[in-house]
Amino acid sequence: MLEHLISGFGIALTPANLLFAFAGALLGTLVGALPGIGSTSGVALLLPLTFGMNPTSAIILLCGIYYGSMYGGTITSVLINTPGESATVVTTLDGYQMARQGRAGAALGIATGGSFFAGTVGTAALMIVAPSLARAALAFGPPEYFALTVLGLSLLTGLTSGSPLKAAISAILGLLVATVGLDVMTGMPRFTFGLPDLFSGFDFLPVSIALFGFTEILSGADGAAPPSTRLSIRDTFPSARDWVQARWPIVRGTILGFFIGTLPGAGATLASFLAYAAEKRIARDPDRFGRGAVEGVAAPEAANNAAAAGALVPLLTLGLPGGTTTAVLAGALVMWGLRPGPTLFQDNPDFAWGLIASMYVGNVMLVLLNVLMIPVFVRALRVPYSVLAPAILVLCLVGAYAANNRMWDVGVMLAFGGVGVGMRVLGYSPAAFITALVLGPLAENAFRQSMQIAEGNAMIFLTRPISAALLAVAAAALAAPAFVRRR
Amino acid sequence: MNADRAAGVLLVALGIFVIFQASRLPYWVDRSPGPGFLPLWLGVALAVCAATVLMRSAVTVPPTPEPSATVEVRARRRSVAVALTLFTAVAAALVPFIGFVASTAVLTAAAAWWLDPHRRAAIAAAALLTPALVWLIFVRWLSIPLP
Repeated sequence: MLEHLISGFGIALTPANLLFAFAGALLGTLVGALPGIGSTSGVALLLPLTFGMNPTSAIILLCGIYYGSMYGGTITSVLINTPGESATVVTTLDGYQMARQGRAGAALGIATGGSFFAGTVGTAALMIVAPSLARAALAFGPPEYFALTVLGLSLLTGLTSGSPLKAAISAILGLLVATVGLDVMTGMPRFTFGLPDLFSGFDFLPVSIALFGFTEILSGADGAAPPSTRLSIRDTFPSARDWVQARWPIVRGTILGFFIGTLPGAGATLASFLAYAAEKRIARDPDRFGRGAVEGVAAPEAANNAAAAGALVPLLTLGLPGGTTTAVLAGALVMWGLRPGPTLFQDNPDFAWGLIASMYVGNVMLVLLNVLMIPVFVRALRVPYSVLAPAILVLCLVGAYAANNRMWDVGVMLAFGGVGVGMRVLGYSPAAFITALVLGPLAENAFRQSMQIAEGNAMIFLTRPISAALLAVAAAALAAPAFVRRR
Repeated sequence: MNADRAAGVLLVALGIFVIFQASRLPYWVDRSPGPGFLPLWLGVALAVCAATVLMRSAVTVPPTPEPSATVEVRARRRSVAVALTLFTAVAAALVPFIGFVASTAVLTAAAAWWLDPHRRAAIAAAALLTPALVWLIFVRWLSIPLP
């Protein structure tokens, strides 16, 4: 393996490939920071740049974009409470609060450090444990996926610091919104009221832009202060105390994120939400979460970057794209005449090991790029609110449109902006709502597929060991707060 | 009626509406849950949880009235929030007539002017630069077909 890796570094460290890794990280960061343009759209939009390139250089560029976009989404999440990427929605909860306290640089620094650690460890894990992990991921059938989503939903009340009842209502509303559209199993329309635009349901991105970015601007006008503009060099980077607080959340987020990333269909968004909820659940002082807790940035950022590396495991070892971005990458591989799967490492060792080595190099590029750029990003907060707010409104408008290239989503963004303001004023939880919106379709499809397999017998969830264990953990997570209160 | 109670009533009504709509969809199909299964139970859960909020709000002591100065500041800021929403909605409605990029210019100028009418140079710069950047990044670079 070491011999292959050295040869991979020989390929990745050529001047041309170093330039592609840097260009990919830079383009990815810029694309990821634009609301509405996630990693999938970013990779797909920039795929034509690779036409005519040799496959190794091309995949180095695309993976740089993939990684960079994960980090780019964090920038707007922290600075203006507008997630550029679905996997960074949860970063807004504490990252933006840190920015409001004049600690945007610390939040971005922790995110960069966490992302670098997770990306590097994720790549090492990809190299070492990929084949066995890919086989384990295949043991996940619909009952296990359902149990995993139930676990995610059971941790939802942990996302909020307000009333658990209102968090539950927010989650139910998110699940309801997720049911809108054509039923995937029967093709029957649900809650579409004859409107063709509703057949595909509500897209996640316009809704999240509405509930976080758009609502933030309106709430800023409704009484809350705009982000702090106080800034000194000391505030630009995380302190030693921040790193001490963040170190274990980064490690836990990396492990959780990598594992969830290897599960086809689960993805970085689920990984980041679960990492955040888990950190809050185990924290000694969970009340700090949602008010600028460093751990609330460190864990989800590590998780989403580790998940990005994890998502390459089923692609490279089994030929199965785990998510939409890796599906685009799989398409690119086929376009270049390569076959992703078990024989990739044997048939095209230069490509496979060059890619792995370039992921290490790309991570270093990304950390250098972002450390240098943090002061520039943070200074953006010095722009007066009267200029910044309209610019963010325009970003929300374009981001909502660009999600699917249709004006309908702009209307959806406006409507959910109103819902978001109402939720904030009344103490309901946008975070619980958006998590349920993400997990809803996964949970429902997995539940119905499981029941179909078991011919209507719900015992299938308890007779399969992984599913039963995950459901037991979910039940414990739900019961724990009541048990603690009683004691 | 306080805001919590009004929201409770609205959510109970929404829950009942969802139950009604879901009951018109097949509950069980081919020995497995149909498209009506999940929405029905979500409607029930929503109605029950919202009714609990409603009952709690009925027994909760209403908060003491805020000082009039705070109320005035809140009212002023609320009017800004409504205006920003309105500007965004108008900009979206203008897209079919003047195009996306020009609409963003209108939105930027109107919102910046409403927030601080004294910064005329900044308003003009924002109204020119923001749509220019939108065009450059989204249309030219990313080839997104903005209408």
